[in-house]
Amino acid sequence: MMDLQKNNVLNKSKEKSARGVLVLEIAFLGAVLIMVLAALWAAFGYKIVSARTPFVIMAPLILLIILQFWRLFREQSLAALLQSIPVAFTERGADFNKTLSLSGWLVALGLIIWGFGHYIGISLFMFLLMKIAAKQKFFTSLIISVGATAIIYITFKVGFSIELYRGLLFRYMAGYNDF
Amino acid sequence: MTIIDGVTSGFLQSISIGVLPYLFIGSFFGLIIGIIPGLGGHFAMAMAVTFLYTMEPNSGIAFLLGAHATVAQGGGLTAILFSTPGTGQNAATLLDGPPMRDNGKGGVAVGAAMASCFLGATFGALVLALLIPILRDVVLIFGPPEIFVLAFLALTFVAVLGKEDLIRSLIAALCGMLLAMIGLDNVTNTARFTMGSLSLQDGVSLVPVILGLFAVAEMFELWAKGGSLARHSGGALSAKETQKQIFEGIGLAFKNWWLVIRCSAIGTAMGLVPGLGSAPAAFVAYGHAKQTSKNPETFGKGNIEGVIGPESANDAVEGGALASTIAFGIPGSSSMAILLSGLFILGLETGPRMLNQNLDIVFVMIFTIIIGNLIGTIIGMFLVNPMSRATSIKSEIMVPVLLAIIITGAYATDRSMFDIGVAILFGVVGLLMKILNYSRSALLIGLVLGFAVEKNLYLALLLKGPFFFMKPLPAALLILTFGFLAYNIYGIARDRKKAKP
Repeated sequence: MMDLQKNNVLNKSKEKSARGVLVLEIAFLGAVLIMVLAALWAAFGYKIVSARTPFVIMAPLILLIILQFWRLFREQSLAALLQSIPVAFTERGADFNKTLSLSGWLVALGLIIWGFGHYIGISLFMFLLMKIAAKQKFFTSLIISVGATAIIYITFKVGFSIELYRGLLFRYMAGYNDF
Repeated sequence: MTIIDGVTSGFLQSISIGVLPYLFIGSFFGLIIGIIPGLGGHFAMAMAVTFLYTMEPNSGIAFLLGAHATVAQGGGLTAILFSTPGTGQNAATLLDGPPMRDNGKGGVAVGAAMASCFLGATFGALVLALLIPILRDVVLIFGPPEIFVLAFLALTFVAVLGKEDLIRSLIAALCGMLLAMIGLDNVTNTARFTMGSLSLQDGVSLVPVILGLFAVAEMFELWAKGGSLARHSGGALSAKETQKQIFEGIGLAFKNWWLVIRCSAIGTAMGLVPGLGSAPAAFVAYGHAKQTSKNPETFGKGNIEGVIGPESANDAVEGGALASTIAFGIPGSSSMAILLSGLFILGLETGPRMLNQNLDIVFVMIFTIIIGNLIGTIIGMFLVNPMSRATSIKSEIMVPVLLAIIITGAYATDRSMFDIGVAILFGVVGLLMKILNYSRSALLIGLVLGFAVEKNLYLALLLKGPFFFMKPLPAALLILTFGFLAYNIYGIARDRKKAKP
């Protein structure tokens, strides 16, 4: 009896999760379709020589997206899918939140590099991500972030003579007018 | 350039002081990446590509292929020691490797796996070398109309034979091709789909896309899962005992030379077909090894043949896969697509020009695969224990460090802040594609082939007119494409009908 109840709960949870993924896919595919349609609209404005390859690609692509939508909606009714929208974002729960927060950290990294330069950006990013998000010890985070930055400097700057971005602040201090 | 000249020059370049250090570093890097579960050959190559800009073509190729060649060796090592395959292609090794470890023969399995990888890769590379005289003639038959249709055939193979859903893979492949259309059109100089951005005028850079799809997306996943990378770690073996067993395993691989040759032949043949990849080849080789074994009942319980078979096949695949990539510029897998983009970066063009004018480079690739695997085997033999500790690094530490390196690599390719954004964006896209079962390989191959498709369509129309696809060879290839697609759709429909009660 207990096993049966356990199985029922497990099946319901699996079904819920599958529905969540379905909603996610519809949102993803919808975004792709919108972008393809926008590209199609733009392609009509080009000379035929420039537009014909995109047309050759977009025609089957739009058909396949519609076919995939049809397959997805055949699996679940629209009402059931609408009910599942919150599930798509809560079912993956912790994973989803972690992924979202890491995306935020990456955007912040881009902004820090833009403002303060590459080496400051990556060392701050590594240190703060390890210390705040991953809750590592202060010295562990500090040593690893400084060490990794040094290795990156040696590899890119010394080894391959690749100059990394110095940031807006440096450019301003150095008297650049063009940012 | 004659073949003898190519072989001599290729060999001398491969062992020259300007190439060998890059090959060594690449092989070591690939081995480490292969050992870390979750980071596969794509990651190794994606990271390696970022360093190519400052290298000579032969050094760049040695670095790139050295990294790629040893990933499977590293993956085999963790599959046996930790029941965690570093890469998908080592999944078949899980069937007999871990049981051998449990029987106290882990070192034997590791030694046999590494030696089999080396022998398989050597076999695949030699087959590629033997195919060159044939490829040189065959490739001349293929003009722009044939290459245009061949690109679609390859994409169909990738979509149908890949592990993902057919329609989703086709959508991904066409999206990749559409992405390749972004930027200035070479013929009319019209800016297409750039949304007014100057950064997009040169098109979407391949390296940040590759890094995003395969490296950043993996980082998202590792970060979300958390914990140590080797979740099933059973601890390291004693160094002395491992060393002794490894040499015994190497001996066993040579003793089973006939099995190695047969399984390597399976791998090489499957590598020639775009889209099949090394994971299915390893499983087919495992099945073959079991079928032909004198003791099939011991398979799954720790039979050394169950390790030698798949490990020979999964490295032999590369020789076959390289053949279509070099001859026609049609990559059969995402690794080959990354290699192709690496060749673009190094200023090399595949096809007849490479097979005739840059034959030495082709032989550098062949010798690189062989020497790279040899280096991997030697390093693996002596550094199994310390290297296997790389798996115990927590993802909370690994992810921030690797992300910093990835973002640096994305910037370094074109010295563009825009590319950092592209890598992050495609990281999210790659993660979504992985969750939703859309093929990232198909998207990348579509993106790489997009350039070739457009160029060859333009030339085909110019040379043969609007009905170029009615010529015998393009028509045959087109029929093959549609026939293959129709047969697989029919197969799916038939299976569904059978599954219904």
